[in-house]
Amino acid sequence: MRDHVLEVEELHCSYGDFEAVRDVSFQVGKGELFALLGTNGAGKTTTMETVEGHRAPASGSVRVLGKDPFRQRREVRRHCGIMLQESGFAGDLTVLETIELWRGMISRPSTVDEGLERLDLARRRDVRVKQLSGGEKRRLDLILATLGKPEVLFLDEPTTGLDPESRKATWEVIRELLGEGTTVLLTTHYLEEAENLAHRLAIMHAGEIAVSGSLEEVLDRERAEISFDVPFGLDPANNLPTVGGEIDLDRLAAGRMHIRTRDLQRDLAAVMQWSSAYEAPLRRFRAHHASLDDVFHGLVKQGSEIAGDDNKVVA
Amino acid sequence: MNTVLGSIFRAELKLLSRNVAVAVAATLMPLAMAGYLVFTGKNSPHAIGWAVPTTLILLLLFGMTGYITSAGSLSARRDDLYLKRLRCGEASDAVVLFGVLSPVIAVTLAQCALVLVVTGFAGSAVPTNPVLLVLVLIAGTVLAVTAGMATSGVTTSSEQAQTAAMPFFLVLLGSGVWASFDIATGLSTPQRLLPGGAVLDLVRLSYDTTGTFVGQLADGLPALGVLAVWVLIGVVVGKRYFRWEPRAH
Repeated sequence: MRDHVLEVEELHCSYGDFEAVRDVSFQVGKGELFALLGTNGAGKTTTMETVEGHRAPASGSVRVLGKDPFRQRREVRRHCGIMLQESGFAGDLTVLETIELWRGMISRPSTVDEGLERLDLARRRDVRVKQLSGGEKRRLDLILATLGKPEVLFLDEPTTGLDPESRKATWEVIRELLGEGTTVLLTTHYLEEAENLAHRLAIMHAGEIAVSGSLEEVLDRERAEISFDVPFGLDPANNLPTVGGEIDLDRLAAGRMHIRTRDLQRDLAAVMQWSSAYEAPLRRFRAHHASLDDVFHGLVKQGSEIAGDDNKVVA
Repeated sequence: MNTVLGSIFRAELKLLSRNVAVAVAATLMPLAMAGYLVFTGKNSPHAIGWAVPTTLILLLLFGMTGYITSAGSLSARRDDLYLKRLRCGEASDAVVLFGVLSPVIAVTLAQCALVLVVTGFAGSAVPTNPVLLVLVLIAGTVLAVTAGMATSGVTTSSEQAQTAAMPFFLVLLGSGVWASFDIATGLSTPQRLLPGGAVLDLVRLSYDTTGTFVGQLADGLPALGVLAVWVLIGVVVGKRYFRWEPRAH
């Protein structure tokens, strides 16, 4: 069995009467990247900061390397790197001075140049932090988080504000760290980021984990899709392909065949067979597995509908 | 010096030194005050005559440099998430706080020392009990920064910190002014229990030419006790209300 570096059990977090996180549980193994996804206000950052030890849980338990990160903060922090959602730098210090300050704050700092080179900030070393762009500040933040070669790395929206090139460079750094055995807890708005980096993930909605598991397990929740324009002259009502998936009749009436299926390969073969039999060209043909985007939007939509229903009851 | 504390202290000093206006004001203000004391106090060699203006200047420095600056600085650092950032490291809360406040403490002590040294050399006031005077400086500075920590705890933003600091600043300075009216005849219990009265009592003892060194220290114990209680109140309120990051909800 894999060692659990992070263990979160039935976590509840509150701000006064407002319960920001409800019954959240997950474990993260050594060398694994676990991503927390969700809409704004879903509870990702509150969960992250509770696991980091910034706040105590209202109830439930959190263990980092077997220790309570809130009560044993100093012992836990020795092994952790934290990249906050917002930087919190002293704007009048230079990049170099900020790194030097941080080197004094941790017990096993790596060299200044290592971080600067790795995240391409070497030429900005003497620039004051307040003069850096938003993306450069995020990179400086990542340098500080990784300066102590942490066993556990907390990344709260690490690539927000970065251009695509810098985002990819950041992903490379994260992959290198994973290769070195670092355990990572990541929150992100970018589904692509989670698809690229995460071994396992959870999607949070309204303070709860709506779905979690490996990428495949999460994607399995949503059906794959096949779509194409209904061939001209074909009466779709009497000549439907024999597929196991569900055909969207509203779209069919509008001239577009849209099939949602759990078995993409089988239904794709059926569509091809049908197309050959009727010698019907498949214009604007598309077939794809569900993406994290589909799962995410499905959950958000589902959540809104439930909230809408609740509102109706209340009204 | 603890490495963590040293790192924060160095960073804070750099930040302070980069604000030229603050650096100049921090040096000129005590020099001007000392000059005023020397000029006006030449004919007041008597302990009480000298202690009153000296106390008021010390209280002004404790209040402005020590108290208002620490309350504002902690609130601004919290708003900027700088305190939260420092808390991401391995340092304990006490070390982070002391590190951030250390330049305020150093500047307050340096300003007070500057006033006392200039007046000691250029004026007619040489303390008969410098140890007691040093204890006043330490106790007053610690009182100012712990009160600053407590005030920043009950302040929602750095903009409000200056206003929120006014009442205690006025208590600090006002109690010294109030005590100065009766210092010649003896302070009442309320005057003795307020920080300004306690500081005045101690400064008077430090310049008193009639008592013995040990006797002055013994006589100063009640006033030192009063300052210690004020420090304790600041620590308790600070521990209860101090926040490391802006209120989210």
